Amino acid sequence: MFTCTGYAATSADTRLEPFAFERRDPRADDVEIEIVYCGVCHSDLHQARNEWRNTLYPCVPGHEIVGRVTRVGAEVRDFKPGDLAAVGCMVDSCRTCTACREGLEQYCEPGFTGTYNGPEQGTGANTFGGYSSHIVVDRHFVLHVPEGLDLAGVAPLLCAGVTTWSPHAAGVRAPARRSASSGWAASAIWA
Amino acid sequence: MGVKLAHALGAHVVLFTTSPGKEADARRLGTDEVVISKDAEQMGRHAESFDLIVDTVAAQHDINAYLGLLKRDCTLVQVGAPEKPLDVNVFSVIWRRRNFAGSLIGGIAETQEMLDFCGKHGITADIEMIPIDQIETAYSRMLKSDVKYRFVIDMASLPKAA
Ligand SMILES: [Zn+2]
Ligand SMILES: [Zn+2]
Repeated sequence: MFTCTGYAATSADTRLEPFAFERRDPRADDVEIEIVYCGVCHSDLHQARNEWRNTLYPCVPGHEIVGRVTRVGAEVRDFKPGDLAAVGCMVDSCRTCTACREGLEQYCEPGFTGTYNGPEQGTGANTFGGYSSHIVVDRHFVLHVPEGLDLAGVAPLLCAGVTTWSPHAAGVRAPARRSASSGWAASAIWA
Repeated sequence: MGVKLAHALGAHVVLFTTSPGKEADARRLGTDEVVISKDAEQMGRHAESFDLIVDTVAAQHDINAYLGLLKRDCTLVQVGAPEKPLDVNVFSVIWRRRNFAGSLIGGIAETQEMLDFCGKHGITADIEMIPIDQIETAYSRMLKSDVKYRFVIDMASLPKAA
């Protein structure tokens, strides 16, 4: 274990404050990332304030994480210290259900492990998110960040970005789109 | 974010908004047309014309007004989550066999695909950087919708020892 610094809410009606906590040292398949930027999502606020009535405290929000790899486990081949890396809304899933086998971890049947608020697979323990100095995540849930992009502007891609990407990408692939006579139109609705 | 990505994917992007003030910004992000959703005449001009509508609105709104803008067999994907149930007029979907769907984030492979796409096309989000001790102020501003771009915390601002 090693000590991280971060920001946490300790109850629904307290402000987020500096918070020190322990994370596991990287296991064989883990990647340790020093966090450079973390996006702020509306979910962070809902969770910190217990608006979904399921918050585990202390709550360290943040699931739009970008940073640099600092350590990797013995089995990790695709990341090395110094690499850019990112983590989004999930840090684990059951890996065996139909959804997981199809690469749809977000629809994991027993439920994926959130980057914050857990529940950790097997133990149900809390997880601590990106408002922190480091994070340790299984390599399957760590993303490569292309070089040359503005790193701070990459952070929101990990939740807000992929949320709007997924319906569009599915739309591009769907047969109905190919047969649409006049190309395709998309619309994003903003309040 | 949706506008930039849809635009780069080659879509003709129409943005629906309640606030006319967003128009210049929307165009800069890649919007082809901006529609003021409260204007029935503007909405009517787009009837039965969309292959896909991605609805990011978390506030209560009339979903049927948007379902009617879809072509036959096309889909409105809800990603914003209003607190109370939305009223769907089933004729909106029976008529033209439309789909009202939902979607949650994306899978890991799909997320990587998106990041690689963004790398290739030079796409990033427009952001407002904050130090972490301003997080509560950022939350208050989000609640008041006083935020133009996504907030991003500069982790270098984290105190070394808590
Ligand atoms: Zn989020
Ligand atoms: Zn699963």
